[in-house]
Amino acid sequence: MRSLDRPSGGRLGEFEVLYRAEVATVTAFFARRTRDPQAVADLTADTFVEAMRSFVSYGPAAGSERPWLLTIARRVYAKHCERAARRHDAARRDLARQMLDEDETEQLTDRIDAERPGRELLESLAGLSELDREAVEFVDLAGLTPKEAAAALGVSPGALRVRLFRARAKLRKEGGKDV
Amino acid sequence: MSSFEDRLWSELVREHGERLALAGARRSPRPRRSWRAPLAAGGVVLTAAIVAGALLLTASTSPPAYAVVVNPDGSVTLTIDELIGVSAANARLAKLGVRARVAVIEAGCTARGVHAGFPPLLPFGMQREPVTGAVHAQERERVLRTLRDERQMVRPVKVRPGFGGIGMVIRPAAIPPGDTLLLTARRLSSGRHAGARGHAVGLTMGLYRGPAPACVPLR
Repeated sequence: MRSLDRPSGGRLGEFEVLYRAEVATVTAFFARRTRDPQAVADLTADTFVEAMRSFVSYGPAAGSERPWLLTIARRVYAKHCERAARRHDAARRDLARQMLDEDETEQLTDRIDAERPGRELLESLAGLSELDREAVEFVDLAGLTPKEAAAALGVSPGALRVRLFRARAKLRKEGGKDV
Repeated sequence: MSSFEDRLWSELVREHGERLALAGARRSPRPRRSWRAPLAAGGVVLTAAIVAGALLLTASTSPPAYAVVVNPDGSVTLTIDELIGVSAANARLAKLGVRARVAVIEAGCTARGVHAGFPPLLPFGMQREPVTGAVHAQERERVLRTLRDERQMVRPVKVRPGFGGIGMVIRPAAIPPGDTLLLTARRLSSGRHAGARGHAVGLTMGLYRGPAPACVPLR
């Protein structure tokens, strides 16, 4: 699809390429965290709004777009959880509820359904720290290299490998998950 | 690419794309709206025809703060153009026997209601129920049913060009017994949402068990 609003000139064209390449990854990231289609839509939108705002000044280096976006997605999700913890979530949903039509909701529900194996995989790691779970998620589900995942998670590549090893060992021990 | 992704891109370009499109050039002063704002506001403005039939309850020398119109099919069109009109709009809805209220989104609000929409979101790692295919199918059906029900209860209408008036068509008979439809109102800042008044009032919906809260906390 081309933009309906204006030509993708300037750096907008670059961002459009990034968006089309990575929107499914970002949507999947949130679909592994919530089964509410509206929340997936809102969080995906928030991520790309933030990415768009910082693209000119702090855009990613070539080849590092996905880790950059997932870093933003993590931050967006952390804020979302903080809001939920402060019990402001109901008001937030009120603000957002009218946004998805039935087709869009169905599409996102399908996406959430498709992420069920990934969600179950991460749920099976519930005993580990969030960083350990995200190490598995970013490398085994989102397709980042360990180096990219380390950058996205703000840890050293060595630390990332340790976390990845620990998480995978837990999965093997508990039988079942082949990663 | 799904229609959600296409629409999101279209919204992103419209609301935030100008800076990127003009990267390196002078930034246009054209006001932009956020992804949520157009629909958070209901995306709605009254038509001249509806305005003509509206019950205007403010001084004739100033634009109406609100309007409540009973339509021939029994639905009610509610428009809020100024937050000062919320109380009178609620009184009018109560007088008409419509189980719908308007609440203002405000900081410091401590009122609470029982939300009758989707279940609360759980932070990552706290999903307690097993995610089975059967459960998921049920949930999917429930989500779709809820959305269908909501569209029966209330839908936005857009009538005036530009960004300035908000209207919701409420069907009182579609509101579930015992529930209250709550339309939350918030004044949208003039800088980014300038209309004829220099500002606009956004209306969005929620459904509550029993009475709805008198206000909604600012997120």
